[in-house]
Amino acid sequence: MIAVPDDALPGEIVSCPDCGTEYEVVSVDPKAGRAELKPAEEVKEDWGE
Amino acid sequence: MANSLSILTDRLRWEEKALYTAALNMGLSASIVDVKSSSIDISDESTLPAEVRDSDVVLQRCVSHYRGLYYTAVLERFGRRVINSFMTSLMTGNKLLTSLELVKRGIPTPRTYVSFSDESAVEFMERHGYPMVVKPVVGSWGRMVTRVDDRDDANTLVEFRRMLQDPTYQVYYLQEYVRRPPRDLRAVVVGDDVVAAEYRYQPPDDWRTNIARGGRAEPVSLKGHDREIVLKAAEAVGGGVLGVDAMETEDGLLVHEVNGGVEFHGVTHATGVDVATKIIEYARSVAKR
Repeated sequence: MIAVPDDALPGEIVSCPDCGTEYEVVSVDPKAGRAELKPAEEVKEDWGE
Repeated sequence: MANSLSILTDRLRWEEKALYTAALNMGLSASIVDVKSSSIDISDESTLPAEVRDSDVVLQRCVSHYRGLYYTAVLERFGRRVINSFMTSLMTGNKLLTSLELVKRGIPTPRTYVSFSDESAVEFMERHGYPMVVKPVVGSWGRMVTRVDDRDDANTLVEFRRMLQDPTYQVYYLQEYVRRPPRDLRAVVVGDDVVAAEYRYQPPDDWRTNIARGGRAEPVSLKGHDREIVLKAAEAVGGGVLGVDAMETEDGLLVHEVNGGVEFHGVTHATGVDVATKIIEYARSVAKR
């Protein structure tokens, strides 16, 4: 089970506690207790500060 | 008075969320725009995302250097105010361009060299002597930053870079290895002010100090000549919202990097300064100009 904070915004990254796979939040519906996720992009060479 | 801003992202980090919250708290209309979903007709401004079109100022906060850089180019083509500007993003996204400008302006920085092939890089390091630091011209978080102690290290590095097939690895950005305390300085510059600064201590098992590599932070108040050097370094790359990194030596600070997409979670935590609000205040002032 992946926990998504109620105040999560689309684009935020959440991780699977078991395998560490990252997912990007697509949408959150706190009232329904549901969130839509998609696999997050993997780190690229030009990522950073 | 600027009333609206948009924050461009491709991966929403703590920083972008803090900026969004700070903007809302200041009564601004704020939006977060995921650039990954954008396709723009560069001849037609109406194809910009509506939130961007309606913004007085845009904060470019992409984690991908190239996405942020080219998105900024498009927005500036349409006359939009973007923080940081295309020129600042170009300069800070490339360590060689940053170093060239620092040297040109006489800002203290480690002695830097550039080689244009595997062979010339190894030959140069042999001639110069070890240790040397080799960094990718584009890259961050300390990734692929390597301390080279001897010819074996140099050969291994060259072979590894060759395998990566990235054309930028044909250019070798080489720096003298600076003997410093086990920490460096990170100063966050917003406009013409150093809003927060911290010492970053290297973790026990790494010589790099990047917080992304597990280093710890401690607040510091920058004054006098050190503050002046940091501000000059920020100005050298075109100004904006920047993270200036410097090392302490017996002869004073040496600026070794200027980051254009500064992550400020660590420095906010270490100093208690609300960096996000400082950035939004700056963005508002830029939009008014």
